[in-house]
Amino acid sequence: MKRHLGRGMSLLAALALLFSLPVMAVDYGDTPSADVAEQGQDFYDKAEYYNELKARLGPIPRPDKPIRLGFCCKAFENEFWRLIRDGSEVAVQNMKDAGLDISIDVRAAQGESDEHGQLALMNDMVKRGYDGILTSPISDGNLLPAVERARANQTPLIMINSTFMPQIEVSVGARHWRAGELAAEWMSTRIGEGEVAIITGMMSSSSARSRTEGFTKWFADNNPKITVVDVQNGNWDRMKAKDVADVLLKKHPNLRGIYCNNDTMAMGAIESIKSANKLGKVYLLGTDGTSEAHASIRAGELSGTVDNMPKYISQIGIEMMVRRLGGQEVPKVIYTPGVVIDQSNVDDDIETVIGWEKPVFK
Amino acid sequence: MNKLFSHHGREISVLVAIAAMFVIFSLIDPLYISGDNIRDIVEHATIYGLMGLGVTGIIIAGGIDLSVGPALAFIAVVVARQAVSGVPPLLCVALGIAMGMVMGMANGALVSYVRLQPFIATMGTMSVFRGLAYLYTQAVPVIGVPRPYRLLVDGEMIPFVRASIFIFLGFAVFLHILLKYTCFGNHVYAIGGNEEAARLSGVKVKSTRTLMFAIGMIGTALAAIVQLGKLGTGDPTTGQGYELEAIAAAAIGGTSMAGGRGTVLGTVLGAILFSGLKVGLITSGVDTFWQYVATGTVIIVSASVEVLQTRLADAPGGRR
Repeated sequence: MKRHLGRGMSLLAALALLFSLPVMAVDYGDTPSADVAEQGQDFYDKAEYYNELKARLGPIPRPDKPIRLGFCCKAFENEFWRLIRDGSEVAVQNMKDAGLDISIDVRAAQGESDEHGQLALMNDMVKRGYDGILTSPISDGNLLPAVERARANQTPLIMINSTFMPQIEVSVGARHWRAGELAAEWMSTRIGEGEVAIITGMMSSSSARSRTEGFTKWFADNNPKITVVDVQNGNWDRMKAKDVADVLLKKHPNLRGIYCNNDTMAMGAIESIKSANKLGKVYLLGTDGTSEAHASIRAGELSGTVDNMPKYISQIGIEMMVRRLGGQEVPKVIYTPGVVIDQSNVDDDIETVIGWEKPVFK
Repeated sequence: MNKLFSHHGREISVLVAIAAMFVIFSLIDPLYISGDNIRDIVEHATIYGLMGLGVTGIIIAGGIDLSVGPALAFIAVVVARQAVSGVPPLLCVALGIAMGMVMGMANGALVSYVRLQPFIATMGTMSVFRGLAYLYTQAVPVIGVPRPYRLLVDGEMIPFVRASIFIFLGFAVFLHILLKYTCFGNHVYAIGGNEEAARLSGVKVKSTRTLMFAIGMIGTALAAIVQLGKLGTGDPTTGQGYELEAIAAAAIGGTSMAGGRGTVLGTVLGAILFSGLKVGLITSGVDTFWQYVATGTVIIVSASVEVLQTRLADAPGGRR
């Protein structure tokens, strides 16, 4: 009996400790981006677009000591995150070419649901004592303990295109709301009036919500002759998106356009449009700019995609980290460029389209 | 009539549910009963249906297969790569089926010979198959599956009826005959009903169960083959959560998770109910968040009907 009681007590103590951990973690230190959290990342009043910011800040201060960076990325199964990784390697190479002593350790979790694996990875990077860490947390909270440790060590952190976390000082990424607006603008110039529909990603994801709302709101403000007649969940899944599109095309025979929250779903929906013989009658836009989407645009099937330029998001992130390490102040939220890729520009040099230049040092 | 109901009560109640669903959704939007829409419902049911049928056989044998989602992705990318590189379509289909059998056999062997719990064994292979799909493609979708392949598995064989529907029905008939009219089928039910009793009465439990896992995975292989035809792209990330939809189709159709009970017809109807529900929730304009609640409610209600009917059937003359 006594033994059982003892066991029960220690179990209770362990449980109490466990439940108090998150509370302790949240209380740890201040939250630098609380105001961003309050206003929403897509609407933060002091946010700046990269091109304007670059013009304002001028050349990058040249660091006087070697820079060792870590990048705790999301999931390399997804082409988007592979492009982000490739971009970070390009950025480091460009800086090496400019004479900097810089290196980066880029690793990712095991899939976009491996929250604990990513935490272990982030902890590892914090323990290695890198000069700065870039990260793309899988969820709002999965990296919190490691982020708090990094803050205690005064390691600068930058968030790369992810679920916003107030504990990370600087966020660099696409403005998802803007992506939705760009899609709406494109649709409006193409069809002028009529019915459109949206196939969304998992609605628990903030990027899916922002893209959807940005798209819908743009018409309300700029062209009320276009109505969004249906919003359906495609769960980021190719087959589901095709199934949903099958129904949408029948339910709304006058449908003129469909906007998908990512390209994988767009590639499913295009099959539905093709089998309904509505290619060219129903415009289809995706988001992300995957190579598959580009190939489909070249083939004259997908109408276009809102390309968030993942390869440049990470380059901008690393540039901002180097600027911070060199003592420059950068805004808490930095929006990276996005552009609609369609048949008119799919073969153009992307760096010209977005006005990209290699980093310039003082 | 009484006999009909006591033997097929489950199927009849799913049919009633389907009828009720049609009435409700068509009252909200008459589009629901248009020929085109019904065709969509049946076509969408082929994927979960094929996977669900395979899983039904495995569950009847007292197992479970969680690895079918990633298995679908792995088979799809391998078949896609072969089709793109010019392998004749029929050979691609055969390759897919053979892959499914080997993968299912691996699951079955882990359960029968290594004596792992089916839940654990297939949870392990679930991750292995997903990894293989990524390794095989480096996580890049295999695009450009040639037209002849797509026409073979998803072309319109006769006007308005796609080949995929025949594949679905063909597999259903095959599995029905196998489970209902063969010695093997009797053994499968016996193992799921009471493994020890089956062993004592001379059933080769290990080999029978392994074979059932292999045959069950053929359903997933066919689903992969059909999905590839519908999408024209082998996507290594596809199939996330499909195992649950397959199990849901089986459960709605009256397959008992405890094993030993379930029918092919039940799962076919279950898949159609599931697919009809998804389409109906879209045509009737139900909010996305409510769609989750509605889908879950249908699963719970249909499972409760199963429990109720089992109780009634436990009275004399109970059905299998």
